[in-house]
Amino acid sequence: MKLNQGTAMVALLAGFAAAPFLISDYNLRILVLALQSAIAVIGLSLAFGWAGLIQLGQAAFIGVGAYGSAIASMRLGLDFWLAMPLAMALSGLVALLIAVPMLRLRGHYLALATVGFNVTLEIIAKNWQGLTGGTDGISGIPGIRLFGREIETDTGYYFLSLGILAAVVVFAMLLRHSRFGRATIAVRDDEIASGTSGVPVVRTKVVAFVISSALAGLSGALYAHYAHFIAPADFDLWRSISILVMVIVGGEMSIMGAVFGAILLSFAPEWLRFVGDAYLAVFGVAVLLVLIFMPDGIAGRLQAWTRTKESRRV
Amino acid sequence: MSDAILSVRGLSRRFGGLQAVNAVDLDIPRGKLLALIGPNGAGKSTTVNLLAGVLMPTAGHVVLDGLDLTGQPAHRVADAGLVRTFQNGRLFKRLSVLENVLVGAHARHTTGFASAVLRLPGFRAEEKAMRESALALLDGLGLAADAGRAVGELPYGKQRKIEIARALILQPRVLMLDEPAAGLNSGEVEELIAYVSALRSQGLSILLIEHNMGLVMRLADRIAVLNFGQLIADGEPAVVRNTEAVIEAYLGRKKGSHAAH
Repeated sequence: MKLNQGTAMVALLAGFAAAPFLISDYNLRILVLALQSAIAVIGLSLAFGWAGLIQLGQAAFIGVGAYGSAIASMRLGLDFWLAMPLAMALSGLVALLIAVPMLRLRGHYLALATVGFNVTLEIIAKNWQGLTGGTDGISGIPGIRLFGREIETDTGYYFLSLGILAAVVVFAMLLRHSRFGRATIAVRDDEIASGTSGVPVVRTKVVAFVISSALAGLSGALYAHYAHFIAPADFDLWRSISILVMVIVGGEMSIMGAVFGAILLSFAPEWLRFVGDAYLAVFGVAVLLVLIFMPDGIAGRLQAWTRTKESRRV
Repeated sequence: MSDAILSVRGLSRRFGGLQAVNAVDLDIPRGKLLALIGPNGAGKSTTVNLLAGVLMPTAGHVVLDGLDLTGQPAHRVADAGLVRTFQNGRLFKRLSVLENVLVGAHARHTTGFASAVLRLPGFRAEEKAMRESALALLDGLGLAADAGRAVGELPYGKQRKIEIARALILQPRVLMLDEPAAGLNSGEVEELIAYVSALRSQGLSILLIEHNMGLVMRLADRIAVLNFGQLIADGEPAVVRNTEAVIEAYLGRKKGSHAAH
């Protein structure tokens, strides 16, 4: 098992390192976007998969990060490496303002609030022309400078996004194996027993929601400076749903599952291009099949598979 | 009864028109075991929920060794040292056996978030100490070999023990066991009796909510009896078991006493 995992890890890293040199420029751009999405997907996996918060507006927090970072760099002249943490903090702060009143209430108030927030933010972005450029969005967002040079190739952005994603994966794994990770999962499994075991339930949920949103903000900031252009349509409710589907298909608890879910679903529209207008229907059926046959997602399926292999060997 | 570690005064809870718990007074003597008994629906579970901060009382006070816990949220009550288990074994199904116990240690950690994600030495030392104490508890309950397993894979009797370990790692000053023998076979009940006796002889104060009178008679230093949300008896086991009201509550009234109704 240990050896298998090690081999799998090496193969995975080799695959990621070789990918930009093996695929077309067009697919490379999709892969860069997928890695950036994966950061927001890991965030949502924390809030939704671990803590059980029904968060239906993750794209809004990606949007806060994207607009925040774009505006900070263009209006205040901040470098990406200053604008990005600022954008993360802004997303986290907005999340805190929403979470504190909503999480004190039981039930599905948070779900409604996040949908409402997503729609509201879209309206604001479309109408506050002076700040956001309205439906035209913001163009000419500066690129990212690294070691004194601006990154100019997709390969450069690929490795930058991969590096940041790797840091987020490590962060999530360290968090998972600490009292905060255990408490977050316990809160969803049994809220009452968590409380009587000494876990502050509301605070744990708020922290999970804020971290999830700050990661969405990071994802948005990377996206804005990579694409150089953002518009309200990039952060609509459909984008939120697609992030949620990435979490579920990957396996709602699994960190690496979130990465695979993001990659798979970023490429799905390309692979399904031949079905034309039937895309949404085919996509919907595919997601349903995943939910029926792999309720624990790709990661859950893999885990079950390695476990049966193990037990057969014994 | 001046040396009570937990004093409950006038504890009441109303659900709409139903007075589920009505002006209950309880004292748990330091280092002793108080059994709270009563027929189904007498208000025992509601009482535990009120004490644990799962439900808010409509009136009354809960004082743990001089500290007023009335109306505090569950995690504060637990952190203060009043810790409970559940009648139907509420474990965290997505966590391993060891992790279930470690969730109980949450409030004992002192290192913060940054220390955890940076794996600073303070975090490592604390995490190691908590793991060791969790493993020691599991070992004492005969669960050492199951530490890494998923809780769902374990038989019911073992699952109930995990809950006790999860409560004990908080280092409670008063342990509340809500029907710990429910669903256990007779061998497991004997093990439970031995374990609970050992805890008490180490000085732990215990509130035992239980149906099984045999178990209660073997463990209790004192017995309190609830019926229809009211305390109808409180005293030494030998006295309580012969109290008229208790016999009535458990066995029904004698024929003649209907006249007085």
